[in-house]
Amino acid sequence: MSTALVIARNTISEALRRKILNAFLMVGVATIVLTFAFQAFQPRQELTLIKGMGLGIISLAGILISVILSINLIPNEIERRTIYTILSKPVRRYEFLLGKWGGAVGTVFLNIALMSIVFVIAVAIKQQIGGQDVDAFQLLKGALMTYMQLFLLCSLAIFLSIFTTPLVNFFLTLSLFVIGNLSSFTQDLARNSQNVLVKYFFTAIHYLVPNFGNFQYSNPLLNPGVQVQNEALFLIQNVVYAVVYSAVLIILAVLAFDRREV
Amino acid sequence: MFSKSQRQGLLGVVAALVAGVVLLQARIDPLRRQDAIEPKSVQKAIGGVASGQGANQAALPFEYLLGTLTGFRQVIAGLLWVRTDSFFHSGNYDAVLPMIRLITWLDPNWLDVYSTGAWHLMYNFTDTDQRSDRRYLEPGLALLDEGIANNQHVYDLYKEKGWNNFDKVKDYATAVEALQAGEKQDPNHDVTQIGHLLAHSLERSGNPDGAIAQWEKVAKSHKAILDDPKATSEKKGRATQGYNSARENLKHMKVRRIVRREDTQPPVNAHFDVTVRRIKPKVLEISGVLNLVGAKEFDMGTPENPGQGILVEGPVDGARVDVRLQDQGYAMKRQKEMTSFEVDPSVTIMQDQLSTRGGKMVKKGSMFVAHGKNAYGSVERNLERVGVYGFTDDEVAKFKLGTVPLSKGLGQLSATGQLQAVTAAYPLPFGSGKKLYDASEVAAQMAKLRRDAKKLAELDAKNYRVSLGEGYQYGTFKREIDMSKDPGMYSFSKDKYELILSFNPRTAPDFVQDRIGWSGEGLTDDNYLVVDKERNNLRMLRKVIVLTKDDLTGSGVKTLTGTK
Repeated sequence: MSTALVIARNTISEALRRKILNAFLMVGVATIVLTFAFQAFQPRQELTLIKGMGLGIISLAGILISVILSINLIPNEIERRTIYTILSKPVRRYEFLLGKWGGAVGTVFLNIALMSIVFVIAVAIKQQIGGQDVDAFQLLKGALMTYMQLFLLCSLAIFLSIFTTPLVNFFLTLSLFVIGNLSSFTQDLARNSQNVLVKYFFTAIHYLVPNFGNFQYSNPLLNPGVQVQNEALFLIQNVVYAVVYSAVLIILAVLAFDRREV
Repeated sequence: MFSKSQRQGLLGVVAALVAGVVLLQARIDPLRRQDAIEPKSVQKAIGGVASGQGANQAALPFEYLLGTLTGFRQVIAGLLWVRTDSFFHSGNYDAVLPMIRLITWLDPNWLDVYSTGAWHLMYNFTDTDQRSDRRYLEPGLALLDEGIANNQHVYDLYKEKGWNNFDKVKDYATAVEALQAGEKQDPNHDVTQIGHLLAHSLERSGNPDGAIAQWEKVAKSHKAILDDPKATSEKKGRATQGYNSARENLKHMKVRRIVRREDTQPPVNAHFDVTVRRIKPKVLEISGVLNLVGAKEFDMGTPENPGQGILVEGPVDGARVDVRLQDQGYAMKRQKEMTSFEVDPSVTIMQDQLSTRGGKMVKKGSMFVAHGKNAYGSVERNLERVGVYGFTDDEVAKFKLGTVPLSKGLGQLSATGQLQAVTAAYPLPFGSGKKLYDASEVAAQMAKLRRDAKKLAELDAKNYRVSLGEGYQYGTFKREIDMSKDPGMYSFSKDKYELILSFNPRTAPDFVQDRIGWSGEGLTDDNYLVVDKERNNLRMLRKVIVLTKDDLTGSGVKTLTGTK
């Protein structure tokens, strides 16, 4: 397992040197700072706008970083033939894959953490200056949900990268991301449909496609007056869901990669 | 490479984990579908696109729809709100409405959008003369009700509903209901915003005892904040202002509760009458008479030691006659949800207020100010308080008041006239604590004035005179209301209309209510007095004139009612 950790560390340091990923990060941070330009609005409206935009920018930047990083990790190694060098050492295929996956989720964690810290501190300062109650640290719950969503997204992209080219993987991952966000609609379609086949089809979609919609948790953070029932349970269940589903995808990826010709 | 048994083992683990995923999702679903996390109204924003229900429906562009569906719902709402703000500042008010509809669907917990949207609907659509388009009151109130339904435990929208009913609709009973609900639903409500407005609403709804109880409650709440060691200095600062305001209002209410019992009797006859003329198509001239009497000087005192109440009374300016032209039988509907922001173009409603001015009186032996030909001359505030009015030459002749200057008429001054003369000559210093000279002081000051030739010359130069006759003139109102400039707002598509002219004592200023009472107890009228039992026995003046479409849109001058 220490081999996987070494690979993960190397993956992270390689990823942090990649210009395009750093560009997304810089754009993310800059855009967060720019949202503080909504001064034409009343303080409370301004804060709602800043919080909504900030969380959205973190999410969008995170999605781009996750997908572009994860779809290329393994295919790049195969294309450049560097994978032979690694696998010729006593590095097992599953260690290599786990290391790459660990590096991906670690990189995403660092990016999300950086953007979130900048954002939360900026909001806290704004609230303090404005004489408002400082609740900026509640936004970390939104950051956590965003990270777990991206954790699952990385796992999905890496799983699909075993079978598909990066270009196909890009569109496939994003399509599944969109479908996964429509989970309320698939659930309603399953519930309301009269046709048994259609009912089972949408039920299968609802439960088998990763439910990225579970992690949309911005409403209570933007609107503090909203009362959420069983908030802690909801957040914990989502974290466990992301971990368990990612485990499914990574185990399947390991099994598939084990037999794949490189 | 894994062996066959290892592969089977791993696949078994995968199967177990998949079952775990399905079970977890089944547990997450009910929590996720709660309105606090996933509002149901989002589907309406999306359905607006899918259903294609014409221009009346708000619709999201595709890229916004995609953003909404992929978890960027509130980012989209934020972007739309920024866009809405730019539409507002560029004067494109109609474009603001579908945006408000979409944003409140996308984020039904964003309070500011509801409150700003309702304000926009109820205040910003006006005609050329800045009269509100009252057809927008229905969707505005519906939007607030919808916002309250989506945010039941937060006071903000209850306050907005209370304020809009108080200020715009003048439905004080509904304002009271909304504010009381806000107090109950949100124990952390802002005392000044909810509590103070509730007290004012109770007073305006004809419940002064309820208002007094509310002021006491509000003062106590502010005091609790002041006594709380954990309260911030900012919060204490606001509580100090609120406490002082509440105590002052409480004092006024309690004293008035005592003194108005006597001060409002006997009732004043308003002699209300109105003349309406059509001077051009869709242009009305409304004029009339209203005898409005109020307190010129008032002695407050304290609740423990109330003052004398009204010291000097007489005709006053400032109260308003409401004029409303509407389709016959029109009644505002109350909806629970804003189903449409379009208004019915066939409905006509015009509402305005006419100020009453020019009431005056003088008794034999009192003072008056001769204004000559100047119909807009003013009287010093100091003299207004003691009941001195100004009269033009025509009025002096009409009432036969004479031309005796003050210096020559000292011997003819009545007791009231002497008080007026010494007040004019030797005004009481500001901050002296005295409202008026008492009888012994008047006598002493009159003796001094008789010897003070220089002062008398000064007063004569100001055209102060002693009245040889009696004169009384009722207050009048007059306005030309031009509805021809806004055909979109005043379509006149129906056959019959009601022109309603009314005076409501509950909306009159304090100095008028001091004489006629909170609910018109001190008001009467020969022809137009109405007692409204549904509004706590409100005694008000109301005249309704039924007009036809031709009356309003025909050409030429036509008197529609009255004697002129």
